[in-house]
Amino acid sequence: MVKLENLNLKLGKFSLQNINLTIKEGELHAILGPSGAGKSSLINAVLGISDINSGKILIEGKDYTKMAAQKRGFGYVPQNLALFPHLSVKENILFGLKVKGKKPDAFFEKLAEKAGIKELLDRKPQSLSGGQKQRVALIRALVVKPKLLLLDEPFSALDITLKRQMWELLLDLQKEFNITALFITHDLDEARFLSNRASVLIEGKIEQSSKTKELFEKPKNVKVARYLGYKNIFKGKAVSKNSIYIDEMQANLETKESLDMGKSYTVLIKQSAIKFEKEEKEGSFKVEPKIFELNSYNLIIFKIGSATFETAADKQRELTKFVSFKKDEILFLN
Amino acid sequence: MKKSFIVAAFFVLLLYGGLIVSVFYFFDTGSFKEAIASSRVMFSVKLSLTTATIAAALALFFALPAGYALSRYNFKLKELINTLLEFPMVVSPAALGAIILIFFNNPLGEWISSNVYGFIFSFGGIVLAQFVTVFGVSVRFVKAAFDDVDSSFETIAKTLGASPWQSFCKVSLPLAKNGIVGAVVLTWAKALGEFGATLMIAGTMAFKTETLPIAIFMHLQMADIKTTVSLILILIAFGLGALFVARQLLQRGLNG
Repeated sequence: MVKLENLNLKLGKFSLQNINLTIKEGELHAILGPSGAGKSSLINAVLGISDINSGKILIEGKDYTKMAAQKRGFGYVPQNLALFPHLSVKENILFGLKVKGKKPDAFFEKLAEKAGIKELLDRKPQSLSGGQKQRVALIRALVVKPKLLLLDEPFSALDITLKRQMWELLLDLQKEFNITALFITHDLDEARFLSNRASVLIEGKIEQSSKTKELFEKPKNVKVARYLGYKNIFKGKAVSKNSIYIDEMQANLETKESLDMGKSYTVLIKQSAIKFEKEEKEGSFKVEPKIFELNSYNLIIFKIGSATFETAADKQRELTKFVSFKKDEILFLN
Repeated sequence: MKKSFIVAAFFVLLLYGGLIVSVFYFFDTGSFKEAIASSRVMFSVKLSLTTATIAAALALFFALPAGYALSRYNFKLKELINTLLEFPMVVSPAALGAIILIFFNNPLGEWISSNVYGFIFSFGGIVLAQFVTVFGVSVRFVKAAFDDVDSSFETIAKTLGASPWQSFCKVSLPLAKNGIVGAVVLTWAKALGEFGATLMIAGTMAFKTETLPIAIFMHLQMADIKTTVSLILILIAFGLGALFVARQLLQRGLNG
């Protein structure tokens, strides 16, 4: 188990603040966050490239905090892959074993075969395609049997087809060799596809850390919800135990959650909460939906009062002029 | 725009090529053969090649770690050191030679001369003059060579278990190789052509401190134009020859 305890790192005006993370053995943990959130700084701190100001990095209870980077035994795949251009693919992959005086073993053969790079071993990295380079960089990091694999947006430069192939390869390898990994991405699909758990890092702070599905479906606060692409976030005041007055809508919404009368809340009305009704019924609102045709779905925008709602609908879906909201799909944010 | 910019590039050829060609106005085959056969000229050639090679090797020996440190680490007085690299270029070589001469006339310099090595008017003096002149520029070239190597290669090497020394030898150095070879050649060529500081420290003693540039100066002073031209052509041949070989090596390195 990998534990980051109260990690603090100051880099000029930027700082990572009280980072707490637990990554179980065999778990792929995604760190999500906007540019400049401190994702790469966090990776550098874990790798031992940046000195942290306080906190601990523990693996199976052993303290790695002050250990030199070369002694940590972590695998790393950076965004630019950094394949050594003066070495062949084989020399690149075996670099980690060679500097420790070890010879290539069956594990290397197995990894090379699994990644489909056996035919590339004598070539120079410059002659490889983008996808082949990714495979080589990944295998180079894995061949030393790292206690923790760190990936810094390694697939960001690939097109979607190659990206999916790499996701599948990583998952295959992870299952077969029980790899524990911490990876950075700003690709939400990538995080959802690959990770068991995910954390959202914004302005140097972890805003939410939970199971990936839960993180995507139940963001805890406005920052996380907005980062995950949620719209329809409004402020309101509880007018009864199960009803809230949304200022922008100038209307009440029924909720499932038990509320404190008079208290202010921020609500997230998920797309799945929006239901187009065939006819007007109790609690429904009359709307004038505008439809924008996008590649694979239609974007629907409508207003209630001054509140603008956005939702996606598949192209076949019939739209009506009445909307109601499912209580279960209205979330309350911190 | 393209044409006018290419014209500017051709100005290089016109200026330097023109100057070299103009030397041939006084070229005389007989004098050239005589110069090559002359033991005094051959002594100058050997002396220049030996001292320039030693000075360049010494400069590189110190420039490699110094250039790497300036490229990779942050430390106190780094900016001052960075500025001082241009010191030999800012003051003229003659002034630099005079400064070295002044140093050997202060108590510490006198003690070195008496107890360690007498640099004034000696072989060591020539090497010292050349070394002091080229060291700064050598560090600057080596630093630039390491600046061109992305530090993420070293980070990867470390995470794969390489010690800082292994990372330097197996990653940084091979990746900076082309730039370093360029630095060596330019340092050597600059040392070969060094005149002002050598004149100040080592003087102009035939068969002792007469390097090629000094020999050119001495023959010109004696109005011996034909030998001067021969010496100039020998110096150009060695200098440009070294640059040509370096270019070929670099090209081979890049293609390999």
